[in-house]
Amino acid sequence: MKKITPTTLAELLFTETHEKSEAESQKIVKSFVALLAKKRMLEKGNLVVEAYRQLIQQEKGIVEVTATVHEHMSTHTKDTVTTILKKELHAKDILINEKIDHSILGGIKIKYGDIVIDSTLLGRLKQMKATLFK
Amino acid sequence: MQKNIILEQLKKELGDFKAHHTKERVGAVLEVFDGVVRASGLSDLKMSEMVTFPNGAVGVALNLEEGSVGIIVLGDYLGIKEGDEVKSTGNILELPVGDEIIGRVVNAIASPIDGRGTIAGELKSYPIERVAPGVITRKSVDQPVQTGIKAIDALIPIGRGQRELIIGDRQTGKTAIAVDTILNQKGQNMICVYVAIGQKDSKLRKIETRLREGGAMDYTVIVSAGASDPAALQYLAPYAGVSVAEYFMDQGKDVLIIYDDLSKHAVAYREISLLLRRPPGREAYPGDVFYLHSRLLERACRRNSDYGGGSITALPIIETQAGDISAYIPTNVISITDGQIFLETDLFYKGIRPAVNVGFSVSRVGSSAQIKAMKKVAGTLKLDLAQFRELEAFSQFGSDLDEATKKTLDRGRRAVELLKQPQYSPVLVENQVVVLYALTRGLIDDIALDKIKEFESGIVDYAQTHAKKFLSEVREKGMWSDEGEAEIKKVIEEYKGVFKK
Ligand SMILES: Nc1ncnc2c1ncn2[C@@H]1O[C@H](COP(=O)(O)OP(=O)(O)OP(=O)(O)O)[C@@H](O)[C@H]1O
Ligand SMILES: [Mg+2]
Repeated sequence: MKKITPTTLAELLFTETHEKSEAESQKIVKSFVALLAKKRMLEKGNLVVEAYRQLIQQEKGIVEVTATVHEHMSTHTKDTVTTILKKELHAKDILINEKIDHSILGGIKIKYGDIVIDSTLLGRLKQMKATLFK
Repeated sequence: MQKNIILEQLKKELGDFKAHHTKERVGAVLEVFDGVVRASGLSDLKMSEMVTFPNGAVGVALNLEEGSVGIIVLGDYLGIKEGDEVKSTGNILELPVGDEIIGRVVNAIASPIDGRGTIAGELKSYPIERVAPGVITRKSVDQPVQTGIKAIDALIPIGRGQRELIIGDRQTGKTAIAVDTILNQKGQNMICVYVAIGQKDSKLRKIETRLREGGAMDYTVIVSAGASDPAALQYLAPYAGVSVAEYFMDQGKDVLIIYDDLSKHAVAYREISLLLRRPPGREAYPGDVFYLHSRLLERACRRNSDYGGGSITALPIIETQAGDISAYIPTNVISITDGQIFLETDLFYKGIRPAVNVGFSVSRVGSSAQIKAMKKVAGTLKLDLAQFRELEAFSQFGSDLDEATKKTLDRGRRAVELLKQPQYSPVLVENQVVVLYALTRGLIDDIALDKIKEFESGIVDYAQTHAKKFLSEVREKGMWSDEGEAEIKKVIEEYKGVFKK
């Protein structure tokens, strides 16, 4: 038997509500929540919602990334980043969550899933340090 | 001036340096246990891959599951918190190994712990996990490992590249056999690796001192994860040991590795697995405990010359409870090895030491590595002992035994007596052949039982000067000639004359 994880639950919900009318979906969601309650899994609700959101995004070809920057990105920078990532990740659209962190000194750090692309000044200085102290 | 030089130097160093962006897989620490953490993400991690933590500590992937991974932390796990970033490195954990590691005591990540400073000389990186050599690279066993222990060399011979299990209850002389075997490798063209798992420091110290005094540290490395070290390091130690062994085998050398002991290794693994909440199976061990030892022992082998030669002979040790070899871990390891040396508490207390139960012990491949002379005498000895064991039980009831039975019993008792051997006193193979020849040809049937040991040491000494031909034939050619045989027969009779007076 497969283990029941928030992901498998979200997948179940996703396939059930897929291409159904609003009213039908409402009903399905209701009975789904009732099932969670019966299985004493309500506290996992948040995780299921998160997994569900990711599935919808996957379906639509949206990739959500966290961009850590030194200062707020201008619209122009945001557009450039979006264009590059769309191509790089074969995505229809990119959803950027901006995070401000002064410690990176400059540049940008992109995180999606468990992948981190580090192009910050701090990261480069660290590389330099590693070369010098080898 | 000074400043300029420094700047120039820096410029030079950084001349080729180019910073670039990096792409890494990063996970997050979910839980921290005693030397073990569970982390999310890192979906591409490989078994035994190295990861790094923000505090600089290094970890090794142990348990890959959907959604999370179990990681063993090498180093300061107290500095790791929930939520910390874990970075994969794409590399299997590697240890620094070099020629100068010989004579040293190192821990499970090959760092010296003997207070003798860093390991000198050039060091190479060796992966801790390596796929065992394939069939085509292997050669069958045909060179002996001389343990210097009569009962083993004669009846349970071990060949180079073999895996022979030493199994028995606590305090039955398991470690003693391993240590004696190492001591006897002097001048035998062998590198030894002694892996101590979960042993008390005082015990290890004793063994190290013994080996140093016997000159054995000139060709031996000790790898230790002690009883007070985290389970994670105890789990890692045998793999570190075999990596060191592989370093030497890759130079075409013969290596003997001892794992003392794999029962404690399995317990350490069980502890880690339970911390990681993996489902427990039989005796609460995780389901893959068999794989734990099979992938370790499969790395013992003898490589043919097309692949550089060299060999790794493995002597794993298993501790049983009340002689129960049908428990989970003992049966597993018995099935992976090429035979076992079975030690018994009863024999030990009867004064039969080494306490080898020769009836239950086997060596499935070693006899093809035995020298011919030894094979000759050992064949008769085996028969003598088997008949003796059969009759011994009955003889306690009847007093009037027929001549033939009495003779068999007498011979058997003498054989048992001759196979007794104190610790730290290995016997050269040619000397073993001398005494076993005397025994199996019935030449000492008329020596009193309580005089056998005395006779043994006497005849060995006497033969050194009087049976030079026989000894050198056995030593160099592996078999005696007709003249050699005539010589030894004469010498034994001669010595009996001297001895009885
Ligand atoms: N051949 C021998 N002759 C006399 N004494 C021996 C012999 N072999 C071992 N001993 C003694 O028996 C004791 C137990 O030996 P050893 O430590 O080798 O056993 P072990 O099975 O490894 O024990 P443990 O379970 O504690 O690891 C030691 O005091 C040792 O000196
Ligand atoms: Mg021991």
